[in-house]
Amino acid sequence: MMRAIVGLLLGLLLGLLGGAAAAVDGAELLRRIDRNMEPETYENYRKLVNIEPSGAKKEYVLYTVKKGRERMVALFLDPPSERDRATLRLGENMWLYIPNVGKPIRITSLQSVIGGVFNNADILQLDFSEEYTVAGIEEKPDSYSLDLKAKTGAVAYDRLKMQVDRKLLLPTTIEAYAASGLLIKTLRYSEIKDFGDGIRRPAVLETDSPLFKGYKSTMVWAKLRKRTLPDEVFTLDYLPRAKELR
Amino acid sequence: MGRSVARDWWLQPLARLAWLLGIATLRIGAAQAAEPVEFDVSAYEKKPFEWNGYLELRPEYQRLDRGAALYGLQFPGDTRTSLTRTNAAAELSAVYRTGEMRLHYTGHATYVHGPQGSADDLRTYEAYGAWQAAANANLEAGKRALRWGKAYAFSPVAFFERAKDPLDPELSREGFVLATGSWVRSAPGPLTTLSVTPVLLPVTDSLNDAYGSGNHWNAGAKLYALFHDTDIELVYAAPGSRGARWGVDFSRNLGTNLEVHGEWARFNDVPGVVLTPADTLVTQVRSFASYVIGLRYLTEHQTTLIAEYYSNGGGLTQDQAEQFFQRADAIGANQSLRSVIAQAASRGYVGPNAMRRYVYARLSQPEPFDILYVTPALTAIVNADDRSYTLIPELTFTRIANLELRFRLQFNHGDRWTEYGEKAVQSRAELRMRYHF
Repeated sequence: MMRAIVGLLLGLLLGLLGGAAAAVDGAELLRRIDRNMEPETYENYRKLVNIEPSGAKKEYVLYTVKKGRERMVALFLDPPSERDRATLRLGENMWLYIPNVGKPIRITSLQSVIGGVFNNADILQLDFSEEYTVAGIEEKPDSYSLDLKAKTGAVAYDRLKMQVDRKLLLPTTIEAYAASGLLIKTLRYSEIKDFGDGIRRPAVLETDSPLFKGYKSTMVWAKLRKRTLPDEVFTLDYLPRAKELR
Repeated sequence: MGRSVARDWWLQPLARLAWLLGIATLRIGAAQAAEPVEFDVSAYEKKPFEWNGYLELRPEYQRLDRGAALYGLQFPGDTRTSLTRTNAAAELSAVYRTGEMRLHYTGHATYVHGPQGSADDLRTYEAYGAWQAAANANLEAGKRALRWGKAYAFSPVAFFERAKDPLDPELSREGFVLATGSWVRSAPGPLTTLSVTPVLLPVTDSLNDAYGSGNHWNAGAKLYALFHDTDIELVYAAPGSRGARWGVDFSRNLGTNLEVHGEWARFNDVPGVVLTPADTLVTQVRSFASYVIGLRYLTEHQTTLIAEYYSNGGGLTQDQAEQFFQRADAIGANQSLRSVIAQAASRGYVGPNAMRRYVYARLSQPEPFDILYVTPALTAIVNADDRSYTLIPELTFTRIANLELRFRLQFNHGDRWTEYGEKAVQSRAELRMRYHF
């Protein structure tokens, strides 16, 4: 019986240690996921494809630069009707620059700049750890299931349910909910790609929404690489010149 | 003596289970492999020379109000009750880059054909050189269209710009020849960004005469701060071709779906004309303040409401406007009034925001009821003094790549001697076809 008790205690101890290692500090896990998704400062090109229920497509190409946890600029390069439009994100603040209007206007994170299922918060996504706290974490054999709660009311989605590949520490699926509990959209990452410079992450993001039945939007990443820029590039003054950053 | 084996029967399997669980928590998962996904980015990288623009065709139909006070002024000797007009436009923008220098150009051409004849116009909207001296310092000189302010339809603090049309605030506008620059500073903390933008707008007999008269340098500056997530600007224009002006504006998000903004400006020594009871025009110099307060609200279904209240301190009073419309209406019986009324019309009595208080509202909804590529919108501008208004329903269709179709109606309504009640055009329909390249 003594052997059984010792075995039980050792097993429990091992389980606790292993459990502690797997449950890991939720905040730390989220930060690691963020860094696996992108360097803290980078530039990239993305193509967004909005697929209508009829199967017709509208495509957009964006150039994005990001610095640190709070600074991001996205510049539209295609189609010509959207060319040189730019959005700036500084923490919880967002602005849209339209060349004809000639001045940046403040917008909200829920606004959809190009239509389709993606909105500003998806296109100008900051680190998850910057906007969310880990309210709960569930360990599964191959994955973690994170329950994320928005830190402030200014964040686009009140809650995220994130499924994370346990080996790669990369998200596979995210369900985004409003404060009312309404499911706003589901995001699905796929096509792991090596972008070089130690960056290995999903190159494709697909999303659909019960609010836009039959619609689907896809984002494809290309040429993602580290790049350091001065803070002043991420200001309203520079936004009209964002196309010079390429 | 030990416990009974029968009573401790659960300990061994539990021990084994705990051991297995302990091992399980140290399990290492397997890696995934994936096919790479590419798209060609070389077509989108920066080039030394780039250009883009649009072509536009805009036929319109107008229903005229022969009883309106302004009809006789716009259509002298005419009796028509409707007209059709064809408008065409083309705009070309280009940039040439060499090192840290850039040359920008925007040209705008228009053509109008209607029952009163044809007219064409070609203008340089912008032509300037820019030097990015450093990431936080920039200089520009040439013909440049500045855009100051945070409001949508009205901008009292737009000291160095041509007037904006609230019926279409997003149209591009011609600039002035000026020199400007910016110096920017970012920092952690509540004051996230600070920038200074000086301006020098010279006026001579042959330069920038639309801005003002005399030979003046016309200096000004804007100080911008992003402070506690609020955009704040202080703007100043020194006296010169125009009197001294100063103002402030702000913009801030309240939550994820509401933005609020406002502008306030003080104008000194602004010359204007006043129509006297004796049917003469006298010049009057006044100082006044104007302001606008507004919001932008967005719902979960992307319905957008923009609402603004504008107080134009330099505008006409209701009595002044009524007097003008009554005298304009009397032109038919007294042609000698035509000249003075036409002068008054061109010097502030007719035009956007001619009076003192306005309410602007615009509601838009992309793809309602899952109707693809369609965005209906409704704009209303109400003259809060005389209660006249204009309503502008419109429908935008973007199914075809790079082609935007916008069908727009406009209805003017008001009692006698009111701004929208006395418009010569009672209603209008237009179809704007704009192709981007």
